[in-house]
Amino acid sequence: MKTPSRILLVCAVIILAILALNFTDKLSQHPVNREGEQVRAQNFVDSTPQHDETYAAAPVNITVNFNLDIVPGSKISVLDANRLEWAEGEVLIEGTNTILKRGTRPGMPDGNYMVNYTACRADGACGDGQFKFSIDSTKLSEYQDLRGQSEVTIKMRDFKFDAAKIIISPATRVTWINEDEDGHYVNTETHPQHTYFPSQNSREIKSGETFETIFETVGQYNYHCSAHWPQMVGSIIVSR
Amino acid sequence: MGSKLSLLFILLLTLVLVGCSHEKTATTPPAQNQETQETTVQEQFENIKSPHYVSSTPINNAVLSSVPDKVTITFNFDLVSDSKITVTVNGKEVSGTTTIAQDKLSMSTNLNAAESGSYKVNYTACWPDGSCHEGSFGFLLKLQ
Repeated sequence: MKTPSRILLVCAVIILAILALNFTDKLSQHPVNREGEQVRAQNFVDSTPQHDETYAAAPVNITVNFNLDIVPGSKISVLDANRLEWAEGEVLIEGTNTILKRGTRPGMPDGNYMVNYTACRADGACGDGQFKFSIDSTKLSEYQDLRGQSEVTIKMRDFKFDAAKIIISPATRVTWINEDEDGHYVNTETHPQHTYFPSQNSREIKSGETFETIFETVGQYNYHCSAHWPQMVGSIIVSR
Repeated sequence: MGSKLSLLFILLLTLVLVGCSHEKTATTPPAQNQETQETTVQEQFENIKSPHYVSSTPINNAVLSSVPDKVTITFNFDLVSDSKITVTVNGKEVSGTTTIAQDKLSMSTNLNAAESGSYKVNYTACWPDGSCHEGSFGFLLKLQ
């Protein structure tokens, strides 16, 4: 090959490489909305349910956390495999305007669900994101059925919740008592946002102290101790 | 002839590359110039909120005429040590030691500063399990 031809060939390779780099750069700025993959909108932090999480019962709401203010116009949709909508009610913006939340319709059956959301920022820009979760009621066998009691106590002992997984009736008052010497916490998902069911958020519960809250709405409530996460976790399912 | 063509091609390629890099730099916000030039245009800071952020003093994008006593950030969950506030202006760090309030719900730092400029506040909030998360905001100080 003559020298000029070689130079031309090298130049052509460089141009192709630059074009390819530009193309992948653009791809990373504008995520492709492929079925089943998580797509994070700008300023997305995390969500409840988390991406790819399997619940034993329906979540009471979909919560998406951001690290920048979001504004009205933001949306949340939950579709099952038949593309039926399971999100219902008003789209809520909570906390210091960083929490996007929407309730779910009662009666969600077992299966896979896709959450699509649009988060709009104060500067007018909106970004889309998606994640998926599933419901598998066979996991209910891992739970202790304590339905029919108006009050239930969960011990915090040996750095575990005892019982860690329980089913209770609506309107049950749940009390946690710390039987360890170390302080513990009871905090709703996620760690450390604690935004899914804020009534289930304690400050430090010192040795011998208690924390209580009442669960009204049917669905699943995962929680954790913020000092001993992720080892010390629990789950409550409210069911009729 | 062939070598002339390839030289021309390389020249064109260089021009294209230079053009591309100019295009990229043109898309970045012109925030840096505002600190060095005595401009009246205020730099707009994004208020990036860590988990449990509630409020700050000064508030984001506040315009102040005197140096604030301190910068304080309030949260709705228990802060632990390692939480830290860092304040910079004109490329210099001007924050003192971070103090966590006794109720664990806020932290603050003094400012060792006496100059006009855009003050950027970066903070790290740490939780009982030792995990930490970052946030940031800023304010403008225009001394009279």
